[in-house]
Amino acid sequence: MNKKKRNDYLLIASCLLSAILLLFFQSGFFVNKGGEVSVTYHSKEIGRYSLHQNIMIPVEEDGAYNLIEIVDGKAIMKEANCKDGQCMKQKAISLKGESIICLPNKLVITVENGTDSQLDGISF
Amino acid sequence: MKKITNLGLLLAFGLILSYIESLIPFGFGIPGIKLGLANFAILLCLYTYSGKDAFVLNISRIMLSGFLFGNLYTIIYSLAGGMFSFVAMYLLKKTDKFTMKGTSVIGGVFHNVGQIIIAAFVVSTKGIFYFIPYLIVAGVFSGFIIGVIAQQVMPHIITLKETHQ
Repeated sequence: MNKKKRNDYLLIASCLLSAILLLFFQSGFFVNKGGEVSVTYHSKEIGRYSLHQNIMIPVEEDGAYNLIEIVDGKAIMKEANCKDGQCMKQKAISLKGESIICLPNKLVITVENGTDSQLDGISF
Repeated sequence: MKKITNLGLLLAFGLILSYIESLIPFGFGIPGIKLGLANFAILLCLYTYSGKDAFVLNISRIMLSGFLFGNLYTIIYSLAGGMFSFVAMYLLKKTDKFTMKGTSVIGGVFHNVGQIIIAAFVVSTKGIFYFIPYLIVAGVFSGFIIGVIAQQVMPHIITLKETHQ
């Protein structure tokens, strides 16, 4: 019995450890600031927007309504008509690879490379 | 006959837990996080009856609660989560090296991970895997709590089962 109990705690420890390792592994990925966000609806891209601007982007696709706001180089989901409203609770995104996902409306906002700094815009 | 009645009771118990779960806002803005309360009923069934009974109970519970409190999409997610967690719990129980706590923890973790894998297919983004570490931790916590309670309840269930036979 004691051996089983020990195994339980080993199992819990290894689960938590793998979560921590994954988190570290990921933090290596999410370090670079992205330049633009890509908005996809039903896995089709419907728009790209630079993060270096302050705008509101309303997305209306058959019954689904989402309002994305870009402010200070970060994108957030401002409004959504989805049932659970989880997307509005997700934190603002600005690093490459981060995303906000609205599952009920199948809308995904992902930060991508784009132009890393505004310099690129004038250096050509 | 007694077995059918008891399985029916467990199914009703699982349905009530699914309903309670649908009332509790437990998301923290992360898609796929679920308390996994209904796992309690499945866990009890797995330990009192066979794996086959628990499997049938799980499928019926997901279908019924999906049609009652959700929609087709929630059924797909729950089915994925339910199957992942069931297979993991069944295999872990079979090794006979862990207590109910361990089984419950692995069930909670795989429930969340299974749901996020399906979600990744549905929205076809890899970005969703970003949430996996949080989902593992959430699964460990809810699984542990359910496991502790189940361990306390289990002796009574066994007595009930034996006295009525």
